[in-house]
Amino acid sequence: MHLVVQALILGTLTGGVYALMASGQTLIFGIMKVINLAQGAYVVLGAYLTMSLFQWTHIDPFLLILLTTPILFFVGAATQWFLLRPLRPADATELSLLVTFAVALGLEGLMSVMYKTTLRSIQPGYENHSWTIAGYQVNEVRFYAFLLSIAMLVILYLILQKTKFGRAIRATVQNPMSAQLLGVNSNLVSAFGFGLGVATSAAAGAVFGLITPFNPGSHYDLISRLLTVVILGGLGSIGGSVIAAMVMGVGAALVSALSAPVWSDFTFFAVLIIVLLVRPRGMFGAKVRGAL
Amino acid sequence: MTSNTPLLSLTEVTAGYGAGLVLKGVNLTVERGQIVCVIGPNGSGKSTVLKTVSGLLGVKSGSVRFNGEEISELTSRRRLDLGIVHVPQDRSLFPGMSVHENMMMGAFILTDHKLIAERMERAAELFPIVKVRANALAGSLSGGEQKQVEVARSLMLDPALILLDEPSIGLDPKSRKLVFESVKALAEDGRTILLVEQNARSGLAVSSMGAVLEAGKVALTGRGSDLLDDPEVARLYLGVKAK
Repeated sequence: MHLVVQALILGTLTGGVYALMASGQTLIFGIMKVINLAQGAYVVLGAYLTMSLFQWTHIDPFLLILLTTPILFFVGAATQWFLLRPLRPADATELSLLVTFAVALGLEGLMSVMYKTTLRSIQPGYENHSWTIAGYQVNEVRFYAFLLSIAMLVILYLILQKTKFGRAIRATVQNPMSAQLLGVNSNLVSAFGFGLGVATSAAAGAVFGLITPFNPGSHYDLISRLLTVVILGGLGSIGGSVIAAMVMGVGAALVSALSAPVWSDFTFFAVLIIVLLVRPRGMFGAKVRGAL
Repeated sequence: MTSNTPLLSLTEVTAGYGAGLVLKGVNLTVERGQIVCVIGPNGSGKSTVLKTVSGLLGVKSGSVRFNGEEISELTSRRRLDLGIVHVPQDRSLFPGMSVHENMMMGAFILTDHKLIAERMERAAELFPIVKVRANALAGSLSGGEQKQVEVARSLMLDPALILLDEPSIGLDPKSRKLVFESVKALAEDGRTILLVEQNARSGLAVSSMGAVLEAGKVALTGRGSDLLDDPEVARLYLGVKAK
């Protein structure tokens, strides 16, 4: 029983981090119907940026997110503006898979040149600290990461629900032509939306670099997990992605605790295959798709 | 611009998709305060006329003048600034947003909050559903109610010209009645409307002027009531056998 509860705690905290990563992916899909295969690479880029800035400035990695978020926002917006916007609308969904995969490979190559392929991690000194609560271990970094994920999701929610820009994003998701007729500049919304989706990688990257050793090739593993989460949640639903992320985080931790850690990764692929066979629109796809 | 200048005039307008022409020299005039209804068979180019006015589709040749100013080269956003609002044929509300949020989207290009609140009040006077169902998701409304909100939303910019594309299409008789009551309400409010309608009888009945579009050209124009009495129009578009 102790093992199960410990796994539930770990899974919940990890699920929060997946939720943050997946929310950006979902936002991008919701606005542009683009499955961004570079999202994992952006997370790894976020991790390297945080690591470099931390080594240079010695500012706490969590605080560095304030610096890395705008950087990744501009990287994302530039990707959309220069690489995705020129695609013909009729082919955009299919071709964007190739373009974003090319971006992922390009980023991987760039990071390999700059940082080599050695596994790195961000070590502020408290990365292995834990609290013991009622006999259960709660890792300090994962706990902060979980809180950060919740905070970022709340900010994302407030941007989407309470601001004029957020309303324009949701309108474009739900009815692009109508939004355009009402004066929404769909090109700008797409660039900002893509930027916002990629900007979540800054926080996700910092957290990822704190809890896991990484190298430029880590994005392959990340993107496969992210795709599982967003497909399970229902493409285009941020709420669905958050729930799916928690389910996968807890599920993978339970599998790891009750069998062996090696089966934890396999959980994602097993769930992906089952969802695609049984309910390809995901848990919430039919109900809330298009509503973000 | 003189006081005699029509609000909208299309002169020998040709337009289409790809290499094909849908409009093959359309001439049409809309005076201030008029409701002009364009009727015609499927594929005659009725919706295309509206798209060339709102800027969703560029013209290949000819002239589109608004208030005497040539607008055929302007972007759809610029035409919106001039007061041309297009309510498209397909349902154009944002189904996952509330009625209130949909109304706010109608004022997207405005920044004056006081003005937006005034316009919202004005729209709600004409279309009480805007207030009564303010918090309901637009997607949960009936087809007729959704069309009412779409029309109400178009008023948020206090438009000089409203382009209404087949507002009754796909609706049940009760909802259709609601829609034409909405058009009447707009007329009584002194709005200028270019209406495209498949339901020719109802469309012409609420219109001051009518135009019959055939194969991309205006074949006939006249007062709405005169076209309703025209035996040829009645035979072709109103489902009445020729005497």
